[in-house]
Amino acid sequence: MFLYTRMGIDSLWPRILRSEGDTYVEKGDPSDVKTIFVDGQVMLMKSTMPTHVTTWEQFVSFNFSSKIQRLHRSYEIVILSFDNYQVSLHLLAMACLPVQYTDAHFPLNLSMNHPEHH
Amino acid sequence: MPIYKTIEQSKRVKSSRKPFDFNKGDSFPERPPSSDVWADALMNRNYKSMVISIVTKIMAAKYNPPIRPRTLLLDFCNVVKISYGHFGCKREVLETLKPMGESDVKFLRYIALFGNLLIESVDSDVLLIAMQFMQRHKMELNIYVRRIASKPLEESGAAVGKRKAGDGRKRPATEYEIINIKKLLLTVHSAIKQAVGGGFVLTSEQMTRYAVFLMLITGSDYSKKIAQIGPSFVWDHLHISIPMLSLCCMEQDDGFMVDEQACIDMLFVALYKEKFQKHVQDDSMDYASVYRDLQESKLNDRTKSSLPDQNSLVCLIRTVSWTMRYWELSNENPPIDTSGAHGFILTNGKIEFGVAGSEGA
Repeated sequence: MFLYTRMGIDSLWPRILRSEGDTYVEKGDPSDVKTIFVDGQVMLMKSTMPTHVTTWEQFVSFNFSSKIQRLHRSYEIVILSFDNYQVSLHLLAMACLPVQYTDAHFPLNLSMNHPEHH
Repeated sequence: MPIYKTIEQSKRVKSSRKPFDFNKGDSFPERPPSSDVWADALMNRNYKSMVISIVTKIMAAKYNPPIRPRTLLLDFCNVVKISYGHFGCKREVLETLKPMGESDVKFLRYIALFGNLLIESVDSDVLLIAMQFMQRHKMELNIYVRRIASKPLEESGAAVGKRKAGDGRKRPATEYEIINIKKLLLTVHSAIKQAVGGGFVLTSEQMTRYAVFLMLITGSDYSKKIAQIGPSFVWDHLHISIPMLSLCCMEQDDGFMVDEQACIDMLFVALYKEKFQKHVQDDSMDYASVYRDLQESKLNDRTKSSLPDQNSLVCLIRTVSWTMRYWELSNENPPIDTSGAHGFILTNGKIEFGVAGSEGA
């Protein structure tokens, strides 16, 4: 389920551009690309919580891992990117606004991730 | 992400159904919430951040690609690169990549690292950000964007298969398309050349700048939509707006610069005179005169009150210029100044559109 109402520029623009023709639309997957960048925010917004998902690990597996695995069949490098609200909080601080940091804002610390060497 | 976005985001939050209570210091639930509150939970930024932290941590620790060698990069508060080889996997933090805010601008820095890139995003901002990048790098690399397919304007709601409530039809599967940004840019340039005619010479850089500028004045996450002038009107009047923009925009060593007063008295005068031909005097040449004519015209009160004054237009130009500069930053965050220099001001702790000496322009 999408939670947002509008993202970005006026939604008419893509349709206006499309009215100029479809020469810029690829007929198939581009053959000269080995890297894909995925907007994790959208994956998060589209994520669902079926009844069999009862743990966070199952949630990640169901909503993220399976899709990234699918992409990895076609692309050597997958980049999964998320909004970093910490940056916005720093900017809020610059603007003298009340700031509430949460414990959620910390960089990924590799030593905490139970690195597994396969 | 820049706080300027809170203006548009707060509108989305207001439309949320019910607030999900999760505050700083709350212990995080051991298991995901039930599906009936999931949508509301994601509207809570503290909770969402925590979920993203969990996702990136589990992905970093447990993910296993179906084929090797493969690489996964997780970009959240920092960037972790995980290389899965035939005999093991190596994890490293990419220290040179600085923490950045919005996900949809982060892709720029990976083009320099990995070359041609396919971006999967439904956010239409990405098209403009990629167009600017492509132009700045002289069309050297290929960028593709996979997004929900757009239907041409000529296709009406019925033709594109919109459902009516209760008509019993199933929602059609979402169609996606892959856009070649280089070819999209050439399409835009071709439309501009056709509009202004062969005698009007523009560089490729100018055409890209002007196209992005014009798209942004009709509204974005960071700029207010200009009243009474929508995307179709702007596109149909490129023959008017492009020559005007060429007179008030200039390239400088530190980037793109717009002469605000010239832009108001040329671009916006031309657009509003064209839009309201019957209501503006022929000899009204500056925006103050055009605005006065329109306020004294027979236009209805609602239309009159929607028309932007001088400050609103200054504000619009500044927010659009700031957005274009922001979208050129590939590994840093944009400057923030709430004095109005970027078209944003701080009023009672809230970010609003405005310029110095005015509020809520």
